[in-house]
Amino acid sequence: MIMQMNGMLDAIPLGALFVATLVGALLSFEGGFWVGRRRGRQSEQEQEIVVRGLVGGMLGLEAFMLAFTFGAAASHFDSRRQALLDEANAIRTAYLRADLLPEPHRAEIRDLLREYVDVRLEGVRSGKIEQAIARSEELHKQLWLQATASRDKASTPAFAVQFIQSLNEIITMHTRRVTAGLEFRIPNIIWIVLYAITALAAASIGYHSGLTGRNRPLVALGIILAFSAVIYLIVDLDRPGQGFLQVSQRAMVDLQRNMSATNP
Amino acid sequence: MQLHGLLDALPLGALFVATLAVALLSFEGGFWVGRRSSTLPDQQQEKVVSRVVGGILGLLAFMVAFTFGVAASHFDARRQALLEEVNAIRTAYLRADLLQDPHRSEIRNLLREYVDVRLEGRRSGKIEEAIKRSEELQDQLWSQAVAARENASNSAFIGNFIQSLNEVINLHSKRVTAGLEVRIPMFIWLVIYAITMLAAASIGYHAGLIRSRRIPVVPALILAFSVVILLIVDLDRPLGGYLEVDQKAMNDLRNKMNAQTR
Repeated sequence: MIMQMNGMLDAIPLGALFVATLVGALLSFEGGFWVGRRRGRQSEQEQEIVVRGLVGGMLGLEAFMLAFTFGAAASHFDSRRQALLDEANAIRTAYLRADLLPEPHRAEIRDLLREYVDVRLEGVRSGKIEQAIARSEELHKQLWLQATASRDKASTPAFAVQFIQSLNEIITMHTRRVTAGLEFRIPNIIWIVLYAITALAAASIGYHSGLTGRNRPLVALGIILAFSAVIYLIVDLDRPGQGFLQVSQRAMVDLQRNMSATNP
Repeated sequence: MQLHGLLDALPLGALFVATLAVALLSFEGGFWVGRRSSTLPDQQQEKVVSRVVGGILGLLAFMVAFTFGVAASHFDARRQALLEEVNAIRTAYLRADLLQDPHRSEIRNLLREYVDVRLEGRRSGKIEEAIKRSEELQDQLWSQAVAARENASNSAFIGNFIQSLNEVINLHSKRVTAGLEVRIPMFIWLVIYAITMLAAASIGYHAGLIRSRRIPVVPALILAFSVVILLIVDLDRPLGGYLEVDQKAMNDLRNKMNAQTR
């Protein structure tokens, strides 16, 4: 596709996006209001009752679409959280199982795993995701070399197999975290549709207000604020590494502490 | 269902225009009937009609939004299946390292071809061919695994590899099912289009009762619903359209596999 799939809105800071959404919706409202007031003067009061029903339908569609997109974004957020937890568990398992391997591989592998945890935490903290991914993948290779080398010396290959299984798990979790974080997003086309129906809904409320009176009802501002706030929330949920909603790194930090405690 | 072919054959743009046209025609039909009825002096009727139109629009909004939710979760399931498959192939590829030659290199070549077949099938859209070739490759991988067992010094590593190979095969079925069969059923589409037509016709009827054609909210509403229906069709369609599952994870895997052999 010519179009980028995700991340259309990423360049805009969250606060600015909220203001832009609000201003866009208010402008649509004003446009609708202006058209409605001109119509109202031409004594088409009768259509008010028709318009009332239509605006209700429009708001219903808008509310449901926002709610479902919110649901999708919230479940992506949960899967990012889950991926972190699973990764911490996989690393801990591998760290424990490495204990069963012969030296020098045992010590070598444990050092590599400790560095691995540091790299993961540092990558999230500094935001240098690409660098952290590259370094993580180098560490995967070194860990794998250690694992295959330990196989040849092992008196009991069953332990080597066990360790290899947990190492595979670590590599799998790496891909899962990278994909869940960077690719499981709300696609651009859904954002385009959401913004289009938000503008249409705001314009319809504006038109209805224009038909019925000269003043802009305060409730209209209320509903536009509410929709903009929900859109803001969805963007925040959808954006990894920014905003109020971020996956807590606690499980990984705990793991880091445990690891250094067992290896003073 | 074969009926899917009908909806899939239409390009998205044409489908959008058709949806708009169907809704506008229903509106016009309702309008015509409504205008004829309004010669009868019946003011009470209008209140009833207003309620009914509200109800039918509410129903349509619900139906469309739920279907959107279902289609979006199918889309996520396709993304998820791809990710799991990539992970399974990588695990099998790594574990093959522990087998003895010639099986080791044989299996790794087969797995590399497997990834190419999956990517190529996706790119060219020749899905059936790619599925067939994938299944052949799975058979060959299996024979290699079985053969490796016989001249292996250590059965633990074979067991380990076989586990991951089973995983690759399972995820193949999962991806095929998620991609080609987990779709919005045709019957749901029929119901959605029927409700859309009824809703547009009732709005038209109501407008006809008061003999007012120039209501700008009507095209706005029809446009909003048509856009959302278009989005659902796009989400539901595994190939074609704006929304496609990003194959980046599989591409990365291929690059990594190729980097390791050289």
